[in-house]
Amino acid sequence: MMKNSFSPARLKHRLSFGMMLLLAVTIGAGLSSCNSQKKLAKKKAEQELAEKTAKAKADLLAILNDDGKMTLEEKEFKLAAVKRMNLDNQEIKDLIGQAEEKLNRERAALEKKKEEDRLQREKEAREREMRESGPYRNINLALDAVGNASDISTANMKIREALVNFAGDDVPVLILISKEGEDSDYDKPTTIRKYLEFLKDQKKSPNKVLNAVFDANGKIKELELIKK
Amino acid sequence: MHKFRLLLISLALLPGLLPAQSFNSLLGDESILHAQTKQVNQFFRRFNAEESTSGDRYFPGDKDYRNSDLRKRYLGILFDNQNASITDPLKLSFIEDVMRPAQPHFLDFHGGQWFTEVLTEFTYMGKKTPVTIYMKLEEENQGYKWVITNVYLSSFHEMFHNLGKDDQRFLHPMSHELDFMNLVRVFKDKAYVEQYTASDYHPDYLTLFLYEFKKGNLVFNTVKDVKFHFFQVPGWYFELSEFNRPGTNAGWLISGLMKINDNDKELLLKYLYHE
Amino acid sequence: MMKIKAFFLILAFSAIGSQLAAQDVLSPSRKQAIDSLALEKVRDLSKYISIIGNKDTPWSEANRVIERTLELFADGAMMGVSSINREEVNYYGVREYLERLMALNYDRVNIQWYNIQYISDLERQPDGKYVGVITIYQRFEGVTKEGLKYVDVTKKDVTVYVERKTTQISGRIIGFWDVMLGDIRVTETKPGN
Repeated sequence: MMKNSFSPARLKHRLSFGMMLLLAVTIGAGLSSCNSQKKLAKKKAEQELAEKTAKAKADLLAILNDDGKMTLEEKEFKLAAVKRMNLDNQEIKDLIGQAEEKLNRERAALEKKKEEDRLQREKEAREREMRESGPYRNINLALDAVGNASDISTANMKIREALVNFAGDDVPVLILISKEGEDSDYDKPTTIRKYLEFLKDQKKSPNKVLNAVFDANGKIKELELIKK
Repeated sequence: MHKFRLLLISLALLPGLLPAQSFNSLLGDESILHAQTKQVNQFFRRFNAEESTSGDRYFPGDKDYRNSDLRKRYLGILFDNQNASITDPLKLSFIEDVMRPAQPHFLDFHGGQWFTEVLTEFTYMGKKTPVTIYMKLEEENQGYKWVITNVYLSSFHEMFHNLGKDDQRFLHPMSHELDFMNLVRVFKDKAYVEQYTASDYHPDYLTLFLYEFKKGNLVFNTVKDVKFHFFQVPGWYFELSEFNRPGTNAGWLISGLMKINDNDKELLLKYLYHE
Repeated sequence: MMKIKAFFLILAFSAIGSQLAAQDVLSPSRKQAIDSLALEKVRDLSKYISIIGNKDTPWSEANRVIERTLELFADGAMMGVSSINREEVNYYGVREYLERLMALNYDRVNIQWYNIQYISDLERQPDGKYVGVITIYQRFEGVTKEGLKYVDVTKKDVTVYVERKTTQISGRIIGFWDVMLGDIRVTETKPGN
């Protein structure tokens, strides 16, 4: 019976006391961890805001200091992203204002350039038209006839025929070799007589008329050529 | 065996470097001329892989500019294959070094550390005399020019051959008390006069050369040979010469290759300058 | 020893200096346009040489073409010629060279140019002009009255000077590239067998 002296009820009581103790400890710990988590979340939010603000500032400064490394679209995208953040920060708001102003200027310049390019293309198309049909066609044919002449006397005859279109032997001839924006590069200026003899000697006609200036008698007084 | 292997290597490399074969009964196979390294400028471009296999120039920013596969192929064909002293292992070690991915080495025309040695012929006192002229590129006014740095004329060197030799010829330290009357002995014998100079005296052969030229004793005849010495690749020296011979292994090729440290470099420079 | 030190000191300085000048002012496409202009001038020269060397060219025409050829060259340009058997360079004035070509005593002359050419970089000189070298190859065949045939293949390294200039044409300022040929090194070569 001695075995029975260990009462199950007491054991239960002891156990539950222990459990309560354990529970109490756990809850206490839980309460304090809940507190610090709140703090942490707040801190995190502050940090995120600081990071967001710093990133927004960096992006805005990048837009303001950009000297052409980024495309306008990239910059506009960046600015829109910053605006979407809705940051309540006066510095950022000021920077957004400045960036908007800068990008509006750039957008206007780009549109202007596009329009200019379009006009330039139209002008070139008109000139091409002039070259390939209109008044330049005959000059091109005359130049080609010299380059394609089969022998010296034919070539000399074709030179005489071609010269009839010009105000004189010394009419300047320019040959455009490259054009990049404002920079036009020409070969060394020559005269029509020398150019025609060049065609005869080299037995080729590598250039065509880009522009011709006529005098009052309808004779060419200035000729500008470009590679075919 | 060795040569045979080289031949195999170059055969394997070449097809990619040649354009479509253009045979012409009179002009022969133009692809041979295409493969030859026609200018020193082309040697630079090929060494750096700044030229396509069809001969077009690559600019910075182009996709294959300095492409390492292309470079490996070019470097393989830039050596004189008939030079037994440029062994395969040496060559491969050099190629590996210049192509090291972390720090590849490129040749730079304006980078210094290279110079030319031009073998010329002058008439000196009525006699045909070989003269070696050393030149380097020098910057001036944002442009460049080759300038003479040194000359070698064997008779100039012979004139000073007693310099530095231990001998018993000197002006004794009390000569001043005799108003240097013993100078008469110094200038009696042409062969030894240089022994009376200070220990740091070094004859300036270029000045001597210009003096003799201005005096009319030296008259230029012709250029006989040109080569270049390169020290631009750290730890290496190579010599560049032109081979005017049939076949594709011709034109400007590396004609000498050496692994060197700084000490060797100074010795080598002295050797090249005949000092 | 001291000299070597000095030598390296100079090398070091020139390396620093080069950083500035190595920056190219011209875009690759403008450069390419100048390259092709220079190559055109060399091709024109090739054609003129063929005309002058051709026995069918009338004497007066050949003389006119010689004058036209000389206009391609800068003053004082020289030809430096060497052959396979003679390594030294012989010097001729360009006019002298062309007149010798015209007077060659062959019954028939055939001059052909290979399609291979090489155009070097253009390097800036101290006077601000640019200089480059264009390499071309020529095959010459001359047959005498007696039927004896002489053939050679020569490599021609042609100096090309390029200078940006401006001129005024009817009130307009025109910027142009003045391309002038300079010294030509002529080397006899045997490309292949």
